[in-house]
Amino acid sequence: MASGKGGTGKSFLASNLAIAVHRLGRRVCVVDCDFGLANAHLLFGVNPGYTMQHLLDGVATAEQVVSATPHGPSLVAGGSGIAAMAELGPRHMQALARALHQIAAAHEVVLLDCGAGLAPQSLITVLAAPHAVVVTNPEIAALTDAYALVKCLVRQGACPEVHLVVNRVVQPGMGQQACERLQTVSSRFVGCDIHYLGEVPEDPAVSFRRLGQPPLLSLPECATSRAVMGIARAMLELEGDRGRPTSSVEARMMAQIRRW
Amino acid sequence: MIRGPILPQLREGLWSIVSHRLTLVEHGLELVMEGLDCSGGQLGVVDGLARDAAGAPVLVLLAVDGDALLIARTLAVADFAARVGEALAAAVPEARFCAGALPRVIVVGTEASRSSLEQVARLPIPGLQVCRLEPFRIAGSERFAVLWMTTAAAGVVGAAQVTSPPREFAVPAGREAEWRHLREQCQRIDPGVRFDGDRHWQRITWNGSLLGELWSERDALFGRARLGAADPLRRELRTETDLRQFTDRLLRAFSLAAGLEKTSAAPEPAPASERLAATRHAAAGRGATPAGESLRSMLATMRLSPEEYSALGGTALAAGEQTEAAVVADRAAAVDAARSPAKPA
Repeated sequence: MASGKGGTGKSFLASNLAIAVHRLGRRVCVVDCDFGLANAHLLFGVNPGYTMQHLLDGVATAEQVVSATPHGPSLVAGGSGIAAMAELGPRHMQALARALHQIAAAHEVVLLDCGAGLAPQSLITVLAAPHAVVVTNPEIAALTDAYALVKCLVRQGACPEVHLVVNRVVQPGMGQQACERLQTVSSRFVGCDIHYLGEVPEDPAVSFRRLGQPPLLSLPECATSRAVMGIARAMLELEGDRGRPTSSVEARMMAQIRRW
Repeated sequence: MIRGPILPQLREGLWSIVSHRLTLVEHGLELVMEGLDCSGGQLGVVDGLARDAAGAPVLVLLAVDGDALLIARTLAVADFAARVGEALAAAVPEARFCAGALPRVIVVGTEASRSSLEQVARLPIPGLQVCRLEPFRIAGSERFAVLWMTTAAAGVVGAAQVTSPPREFAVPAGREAEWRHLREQCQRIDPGVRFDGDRHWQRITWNGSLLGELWSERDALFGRARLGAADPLRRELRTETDLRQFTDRLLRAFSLAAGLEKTSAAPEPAPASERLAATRHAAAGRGATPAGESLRSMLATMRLSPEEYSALGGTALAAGEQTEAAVVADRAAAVDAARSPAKPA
């Protein structure tokens, strides 16, 4: 899960999609890779004893940092509020690559909640995945940043398959329109075909919910929850259609880290 | 069973076949108009006016058996093309020719008009191209091979060389260095890598396997590696990075074609889509070579062009700066409406 602009709703979608995927019968883990500004544990309402920071410092193993949540999915919490986490070096990223390899082996679906923007750390984690779900809003600023991210990914030569979710849509169909615009520009200028996964409507009931109460559980019939379930099904269809890559997540990440 | 010639011998019948398959004669060649008379009706008409992949006009002449005026007509047409030159593009705006492009002449015939074609091929006309269609049947369907009797540079060749001379790729202006570099890189992949095609389109093959395609459009050079049916990614080859990524993909296609890929991973054949995904990720390893562009330097040079901004904003953004604000205002209004007491909270 990636985005060019911050605040598009990546962590919200990652946590709720993970719950949806879990409900669809998959063993799923969310890894909060938003180094320094991680908040997935707040959305899940848990306070894990070990976080990504312990893993990168070598204090905890990959098994230890994977914690259970009351809603089903496993979680690797990030290191929220730790400035040093935002400036991880290649050595830390190598440790992360090894840990992700182990986590991927133990789960059917791993959702990497990556940090917004075009920092090398974020890009490396996005490029480690076979599918990149770009989360954006229908506004021009968010679309522009999403396109910048797509352009960056395509230029790596190891671009994952790019999918798009448009979040905070105030009118049905706006997401499709925004996606068509992005598809046109991406196809024309960078030759990238973006696959549309769906839109998530803006819902005040969701916006003002309490932390730790994912709408998929507290408001299962609201439009947001239904949209998230639809996107989760679409994601699993992708997995079924295209299969898993033969190269490991560790190999893909290491290849990018060597380019740092 | 006795079969007559597959290709019709009458002008109308032959033209009806050729005119719909001009792109087989030359990649990207497209018929735009028919019946161009440039000799006051004395020598007949040019069968077709076409536009090539570079947007230049091409006068297509058909040679049929017993056409006594073929040589005279070819001379008249070539003279017309030289006389009118780039003004032809402006004179026929509906054909959407590229401004400044000079017209050229292609003469197309069959075995029945071979002797006439050979005479035409000997004419000292710069830019004249002559080809003969060789029909054959395969799996019940009729095809024809295009055999060139002149090179693109109008060097006349003898009949014995009829099928051999490859036509030179018309490298877009300013892209010669990229073209040279690409050929060198392909030779480094394997000396058996071959380039063949026509003026505007080249196939890159190894041992009969298609590795990729290269073609020119206007003044740009494009490439597409063949990594599988689901790999439609075409790239404009402008920068060193573009070239490196393209050759990376060609290398990948080569390793797949040569069976080198089997040693790396899957014990059993993976579906095409999976191979594609693996392809993309394995390419990352090559990007990590010391000579490759680093991630940070790539990020430092990443810019969106004004065209990209404009395309993202659409016509509305181009009309004024307030568009984004208007979108935000609309959204805020809609959110406010949704938060009204009438709605369930």
